Amino acid sequence: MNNEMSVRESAALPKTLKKLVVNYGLYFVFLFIVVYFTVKNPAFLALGNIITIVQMASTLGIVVVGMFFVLITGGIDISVASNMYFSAVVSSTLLNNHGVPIALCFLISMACGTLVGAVNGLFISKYKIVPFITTLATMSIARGLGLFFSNQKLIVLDQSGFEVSNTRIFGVPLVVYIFFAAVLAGHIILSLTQFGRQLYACGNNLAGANKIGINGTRTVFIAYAVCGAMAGLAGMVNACNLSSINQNFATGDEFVVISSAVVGGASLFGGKGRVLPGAIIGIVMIQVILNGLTLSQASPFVYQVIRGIIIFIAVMMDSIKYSGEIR
Amino acid sequence: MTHQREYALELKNITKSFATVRVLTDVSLSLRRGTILGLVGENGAGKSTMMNILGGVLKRDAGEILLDGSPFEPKGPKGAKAAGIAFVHQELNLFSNLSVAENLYITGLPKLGKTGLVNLVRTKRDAKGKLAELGIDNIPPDALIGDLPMGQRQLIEIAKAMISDAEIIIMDEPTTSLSTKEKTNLFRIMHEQIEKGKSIIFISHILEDVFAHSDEIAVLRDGKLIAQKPAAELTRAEVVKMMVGRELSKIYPTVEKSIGEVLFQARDICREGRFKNINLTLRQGEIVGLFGLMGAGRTELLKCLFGVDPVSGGEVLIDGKALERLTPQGCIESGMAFITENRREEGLLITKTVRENTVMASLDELGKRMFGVLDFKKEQAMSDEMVEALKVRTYDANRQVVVSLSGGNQQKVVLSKWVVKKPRVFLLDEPTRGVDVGAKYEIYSIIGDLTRENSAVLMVSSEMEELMGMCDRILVMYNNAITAEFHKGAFDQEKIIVAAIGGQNHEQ
Amino acid sequence: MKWFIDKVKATNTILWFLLIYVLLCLFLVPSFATAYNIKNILSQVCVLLTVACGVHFAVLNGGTDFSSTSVIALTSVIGASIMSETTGLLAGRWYAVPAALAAMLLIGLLFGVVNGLSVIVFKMPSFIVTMATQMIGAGLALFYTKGTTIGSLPASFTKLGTGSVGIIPYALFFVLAIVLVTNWLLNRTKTGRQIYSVGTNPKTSLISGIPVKRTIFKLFIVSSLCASCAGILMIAQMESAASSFASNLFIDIMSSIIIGGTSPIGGRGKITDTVIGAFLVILINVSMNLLGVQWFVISILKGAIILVAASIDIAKKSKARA
Repeated sequence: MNNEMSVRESAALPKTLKKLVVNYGLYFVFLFIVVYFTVKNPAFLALGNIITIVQMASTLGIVVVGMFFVLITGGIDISVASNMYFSAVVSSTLLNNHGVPIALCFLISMACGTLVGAVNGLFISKYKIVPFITTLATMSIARGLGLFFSNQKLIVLDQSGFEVSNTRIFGVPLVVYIFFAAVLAGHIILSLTQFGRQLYACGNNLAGANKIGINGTRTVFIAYAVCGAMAGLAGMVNACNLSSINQNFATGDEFVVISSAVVGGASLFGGKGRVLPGAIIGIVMIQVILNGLTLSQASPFVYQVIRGIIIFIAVMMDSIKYSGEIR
Repeated sequence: MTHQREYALELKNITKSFATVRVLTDVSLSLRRGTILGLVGENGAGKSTMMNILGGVLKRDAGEILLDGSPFEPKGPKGAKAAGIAFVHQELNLFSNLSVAENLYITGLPKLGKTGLVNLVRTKRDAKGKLAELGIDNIPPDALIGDLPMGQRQLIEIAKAMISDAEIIIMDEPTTSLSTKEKTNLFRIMHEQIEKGKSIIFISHILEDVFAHSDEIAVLRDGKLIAQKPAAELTRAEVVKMMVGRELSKIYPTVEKSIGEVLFQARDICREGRFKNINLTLRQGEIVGLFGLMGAGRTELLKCLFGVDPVSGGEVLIDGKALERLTPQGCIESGMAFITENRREEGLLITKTVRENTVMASLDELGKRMFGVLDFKKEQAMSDEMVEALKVRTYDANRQVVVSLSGGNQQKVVLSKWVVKKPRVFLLDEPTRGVDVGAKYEIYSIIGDLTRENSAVLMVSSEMEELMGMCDRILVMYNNAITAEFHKGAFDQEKIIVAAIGGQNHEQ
Repeated sequence: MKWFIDKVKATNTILWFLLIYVLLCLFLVPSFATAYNIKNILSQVCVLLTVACGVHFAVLNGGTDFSSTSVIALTSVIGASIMSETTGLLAGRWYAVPAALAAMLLIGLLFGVVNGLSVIVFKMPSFIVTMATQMIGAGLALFYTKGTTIGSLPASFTKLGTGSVGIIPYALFFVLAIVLVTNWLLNRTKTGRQIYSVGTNPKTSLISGIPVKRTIFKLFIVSSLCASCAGILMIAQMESAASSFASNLFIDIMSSIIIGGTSPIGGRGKITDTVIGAFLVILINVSMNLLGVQWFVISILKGAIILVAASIDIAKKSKARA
């Protein structure tokens, strides 16, 4: 009797139809939403708008790639937005005041982000502090540091920042290429390197991974460092997009990133998710909805509510699918 | 490097105790190169402890280990692996979200030249090749472990060990989830490994298999080596005798009691994938033992009877009345109690005090006042009463946290939690595991006293002597079914163990 | 002598930090010991402590309640919009204030129910569920007020927030009541004991007959209701309501709880610990302000303190297990 039984029990449901709904329902809803917005305002599907959507999606999409790493370990990082702010402030200050070339500034931004990510990784993997508490703390610290380095003043980026954000290759903004590069890099690391495969293993069964000789602590640490790096990069990209950094830079973006990752297939319970195409699908879906809201002239006050509802539904689907899984 | 020593592995005079409980006494095993050593013994005989010491998970108190003639200090799983020892554990250690191939090679995936990227094609091909070599041809290498049934997962776990360059392979009950065909394949693989010069320790309770495939057989009992001899020089009957042939010298409390009416009935209990129509009755004043080897389903049965795991069919009756809800709360309301086998994780609030643990199942009774305000006086009285009645050794029940108590006292606290509710049916799972001798006797007295009050006890234990000394009846489980029943007066160690290993009595 | 040492050992170490910090402030911070300043501190503690007492319950289960800040904001604006003497829905009626208060509590209850059900039925992790409801709540508050501020609240009501007996604000008595009730709930009732049990080990609790799901559900109800009460205090103190209320309060809430000594893993932590933690946080806020230190320094400090406090908790736990 034991031989025929599969041990996998998902909190759901035996019928194939129900399985279809749970796995693909999201896409049907998405289709419906796209149709709705197009009806409300045909400009929604115009090429110009699509490019706008993609440009906006690309910036946060970079962070989504990093968030996949963290979610695969079964953790979370809510400090990414503050991280973006801190990294952007440091590198912009160097750009403006010390004439550091813009390309180098991008690298410095990534380095700052990696630093924050490393702190997260240390406390989570080594000292075993719960991820949301750790990243809540670093969120506060990073924002504080950002305010410190900016002297709480608005930073207006030097011309070179504006030039970068305006660069188009074959009519497509540079940021999109950066995003796709990040997705590609993420995909290669996660699917094609031993580290990546071991990351999935750790997310599935950390104790077991340690037992067979995988360095679980180091693996988890690197995941958070990578997420930080992506946040750092996205921070500088966003600063170039906006040409300025004010005190509300990236506020609330951590939720957009997390919901995009979960919608894109990364489970909060760990061990799941593919960046390609998950990160792209996730951020595009979320961005489309947000963009559609703007175009259909919905009250701007509805934004927050919709974002909250989106993350709620995404997490609920994730929990229904995977919360009861026996590994 | 060729090894010329006769013995691939020698464990000499290994002794180990956990606190005051001695689990291994002067045990020596020797594994000849290129042979299979069958290791048999009841639960708790010391097999797992020996293997854990070899694997570096536990530290031995005395004795030495020689690997190919040289002293070997196990330093943990990685050390064992580096030394060329591979383990196939009973509990699988696979990653359900990765493929078969990835699980096989996760610590050393084949790479593409200098890029450091994983060579997916070669991974799949190597896996396929390895699986084919082992005769496992029906599992695709890119299947996800999570989609495979238990038997196939066990095969992959075995394949993992075979893939490594290990010279010595330890297999702990590798056949529990395998089909007959898979088993045949496994034994073929084992013999192929032997021909390649490897050496295997094969732990199993299926004597048939042990005799068919081992060159030598070693029998452990109560932490001592009874004998290690070539399989040809032994008969099954002799091995059975050695497994259980102890002098029943321990003293158990005698209780003045009478066995009354049927109190507890489990009727046609079914659980998908495990139990089919299990039936069980307990009479007032009875102590019924539930014996079986690991994997027989005893703990799982108790969990079903108490509503911790859901059942797909059947019912539980107390005094002839069926329970409405088979949930822990429903069972408790009907007067049942359940002491789990894992007290640290399921029986105690390990960071709370003795008093808090003692009363935690009685909160409804203590919180009868308005708004659920607790009656502290009553709580104190309860705690004091239990500490005294069960002789819990604590310096202050209100302040001492249970984590710092000895195993025996911890178990008494768990018992207190239930005894204070005066239940009528006790389900006990290994109540004296990890408990020193003195506390054991005290616990036996407690259990005996319960039955004097006309309660019934169902006791799961791996210690046959304990069951024979305490019980009025012994049931034996094998492969998720109750296969035998023995009454007091007709208790026979050998017959019981034979029922537990699933066989009939063979004369050889 | 031994009795004294035992008593000293038993008190919360953070209390000592608090006392030392107060001493330092007395010496190093200008105009610290003035009546005005003390009254200010006591006023500021009110909202924070009220909501922290509630979130404490969620943390006892190893989770948190992000939505508490939005509950404050949403209940504030809705409550104010009912009782406002100029623009209120029930402007001028005698039952305006009670109706508003009832509505505020009801909203808190609603959030508690949604959070609780999501966690026990769908098994969603509490931190992200409450994150989602936080966003929804904040959005609803913004939508409701369209960014405006609601004012002109009845003086009879705002006296609760602005009035005082000497340096002790009336509001503090209200907070005291909340502290006493929550402390009583955790220490003296069946529910409190069940909460600690479930937070320590849900499996053991289930087998011992404790209704685990129901207990977890209650946690979120308590948390949100406390947030409603915090909302009541807030509009009384501010004499107005805006959707931006409490938007940065969450870090202070979590700091109070964790610095106070409650374990983020759950199962341990008294309300009195959180009281001490809340006072310490407010003291830090006020003293830094008086010293002219920028807000961001405090931000960094609080984050660092959370990390340190959580690390100490883990260190304590592993020592206990060893």
